[in-house]
Amino acid sequence: MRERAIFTDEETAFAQEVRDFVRANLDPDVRRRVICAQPVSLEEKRVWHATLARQGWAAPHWPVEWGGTGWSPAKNYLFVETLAEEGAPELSPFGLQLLAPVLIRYGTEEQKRTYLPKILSGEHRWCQGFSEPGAGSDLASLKTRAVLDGDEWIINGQKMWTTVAHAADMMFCLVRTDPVAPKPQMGISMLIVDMKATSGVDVRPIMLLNGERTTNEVYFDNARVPAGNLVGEVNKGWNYTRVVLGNERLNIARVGLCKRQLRHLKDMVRQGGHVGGGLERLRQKIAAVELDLMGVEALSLRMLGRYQLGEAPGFEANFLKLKGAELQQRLTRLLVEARGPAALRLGADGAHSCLLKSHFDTRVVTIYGGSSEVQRNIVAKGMLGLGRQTATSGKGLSA
Amino acid sequence: MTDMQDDVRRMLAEGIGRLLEREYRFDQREAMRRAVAAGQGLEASVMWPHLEELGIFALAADEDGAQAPATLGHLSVVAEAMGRSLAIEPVVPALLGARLAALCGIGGVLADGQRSVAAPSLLYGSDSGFLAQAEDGGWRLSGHEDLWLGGNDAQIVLVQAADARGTLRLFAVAVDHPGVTVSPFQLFDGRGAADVALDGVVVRDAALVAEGDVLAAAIERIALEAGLLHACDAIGAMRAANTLTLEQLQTRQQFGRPIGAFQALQHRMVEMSLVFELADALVEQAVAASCHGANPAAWRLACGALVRTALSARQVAEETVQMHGGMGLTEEYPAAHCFARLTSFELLYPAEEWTERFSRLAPLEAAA
Ligand SMILES: Cc1cc2nc3c(=O)[nH]c(=O)nc-3n(C[C@H](O)[C@H](O)[C@H](O)COP(=O)(O)OP(=O)(O)OC[C@H]3O[C@@H](n4cnc5c(N)ncnc54)[C@H](O)[C@@H]3O)c2cc1C
Repeated sequence: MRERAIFTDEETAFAQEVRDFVRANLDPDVRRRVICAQPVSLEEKRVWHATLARQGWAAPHWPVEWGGTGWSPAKNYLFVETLAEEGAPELSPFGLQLLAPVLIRYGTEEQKRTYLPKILSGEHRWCQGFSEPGAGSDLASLKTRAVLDGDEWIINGQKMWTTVAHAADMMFCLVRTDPVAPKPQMGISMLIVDMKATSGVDVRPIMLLNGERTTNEVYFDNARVPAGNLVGEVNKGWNYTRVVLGNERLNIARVGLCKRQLRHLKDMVRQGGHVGGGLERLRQKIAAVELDLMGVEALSLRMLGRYQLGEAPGFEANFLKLKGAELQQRLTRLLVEARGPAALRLGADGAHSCLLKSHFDTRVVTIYGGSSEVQRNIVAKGMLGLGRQTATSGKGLSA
Repeated sequence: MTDMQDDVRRMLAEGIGRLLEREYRFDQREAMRRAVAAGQGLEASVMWPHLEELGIFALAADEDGAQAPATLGHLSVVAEAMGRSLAIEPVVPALLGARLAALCGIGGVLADGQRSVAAPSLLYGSDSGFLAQAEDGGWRLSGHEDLWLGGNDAQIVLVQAADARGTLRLFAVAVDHPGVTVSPFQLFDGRGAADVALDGVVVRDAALVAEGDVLAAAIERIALEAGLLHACDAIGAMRAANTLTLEQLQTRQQFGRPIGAFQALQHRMVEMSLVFELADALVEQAVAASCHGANPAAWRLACGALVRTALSARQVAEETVQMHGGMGLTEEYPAAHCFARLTSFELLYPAEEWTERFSRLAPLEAAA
């Protein structure tokens, strides 16, 4: 029995194939910008999505009948990490990674036929309406109401932090359908909203300090969607949420992204781009991050190995989310330190964009996808049994 | 400190406090940040004329009081208030420019409504980026230094330039003098700055402000005061960040209670308060020790204050954003702006670099 994935020659060759594909097919300027943490437009991401879709690689992890590849978990793992390592722009996860697995498992035939092909091709852009002003870490306390009126759901309430809602065709959201359920988790349903065709949906920008509009507030004022837009069963939305949030656990530490950032950092220092900090101190810190990254990769591969033996990802996933997020922040911070005070400049700084800005953007990774505090709570209670009698599953409860 | 100077300081603090309350709420501050983004300068500032009225720049430029022990203490009150309100206006750079002029005995000349900004090498105690060549009845200056805080609003730049033998002289050069290039930009924290280049700038002897012992003493002292006033700014920003974060812990409800009910957050808020108090106490002590000028004891304390403030600033900045959750990243809420301001400080005064300077002042061989 092999608890730690060690890649076969064929798998290693496959990773090389993916690498070559990125280098041959991705616009070099887009690749450069991804590596330097400079903005890539939604349109450029759509082009890359189409490139992957033509190759049959837009959603390798899906079942073959819906356009997946049937690859082994090891190949899926390598594919995601290699793309990131090579500087491919990340495809929007909302349709491909988050909603699709739920639809495939719980959706109606019609829903699958309607939505999956357009998610696969990139024709439809999706957003995820989970969080609300009062429901962040405590997602189950969400208040947006949906009431069935004939053959339509009427939605009222407010979503918050809805990334790319302003450019989305579709939203999948959580709504309260039973306000008096014995537990708040039991009164939640998942609905699909057509963002373009539904009246009573108002999208307002939330500006972040990075000066970019990536996320939004979404107001529902008697917005009506067809009854058929319910995903799965009524009041079972929380179960599906666990599928959404439990998704992509194998790649949760983002090892490929970290490797790319580490390489970029080393390149910058080697090419003399460092100004701040003594070189020797910088070397020590870079070595320390690299060491930590090795540990995270080892744990990721152990999780993958167990998964191949049929074991679902457990609390390792929480450890990996915690540690992976911390590594990303340390790496962007080291870029800032290496660049010294020049990193403070807004706008162009020679070949670099504002490095402090990209470090600031990375602060979000310990906040979303289940904050670091929430991850620790889950491990404390679920794995270590602290502060409660029964253990629960290791999945994050927060969008 | 005498009672009278205590009174002056209290009145200054109250005057500035009232001014900031009236003219510098967060939305007003944001208007100024957007003005700088749009390439505007102090002409857009509502607060600046009031600060002039309060007399703080005149105080800094006062030649007679240049050696007065109370001055640095008074200025530290101003700097902290600027940090607390995350002021965009280049108050600390203008104070330091005036202060350097006063220490060199030309405060009166420059105070006359002229904003002078000192070169970064003077403020951070690093090597000068400028060379001076004697010419008939004057000097030819060349070189450049990057990232002058407030340089975008400077009218006069104060540069230290070395001649062929490495002797330093201080020159005051008007920014509209032929050959002077000021390239303005904005920092992530919203403040304006500039790179300054002198390309064979020919100035008359009158532009030579100081040399010899007077300059050496002024250079030593301005770096010390710059470090401390910037630290005071960071102390103010930390105070603001801690106040905001505490408020967030008390008011933000999740899981049916304020998030401040969770011990995991309580302990971190305690740490934030603790590292703030350490920095605040050290800075206060260092300011007091530096009032009579730069000496080894003052420098030792100042290095300690800078290192502690840099470390505390980073911790407070990161925790502030984290404990605010998504709100900590938004433009409309001050938390992220505190992060940006505090990060500026600790990148301009890297803890490790100043630890090294400290260790040179407190070598192993010497008894503690
Ligand atoms: C840029 C960005 C994009 C986002 N995109 C989306 C999106 O597309 N769709 C979507 O649905 N959501 C999205 N989110 C929302 C994100 O999931 C939430 O920000 C996250 O769930 C945290 O919620 P909150 O911001 O309300 O923070 P809060 O829950 O208010 O947390 C504040 C602080 O308290 C801590 N805390 C909370 N509870 C506990 C506890 N029990 N014990 C200890 N500490 C605790 C948190 O860890 C955090 O440090 C996005 C957020 C951001 C910032």
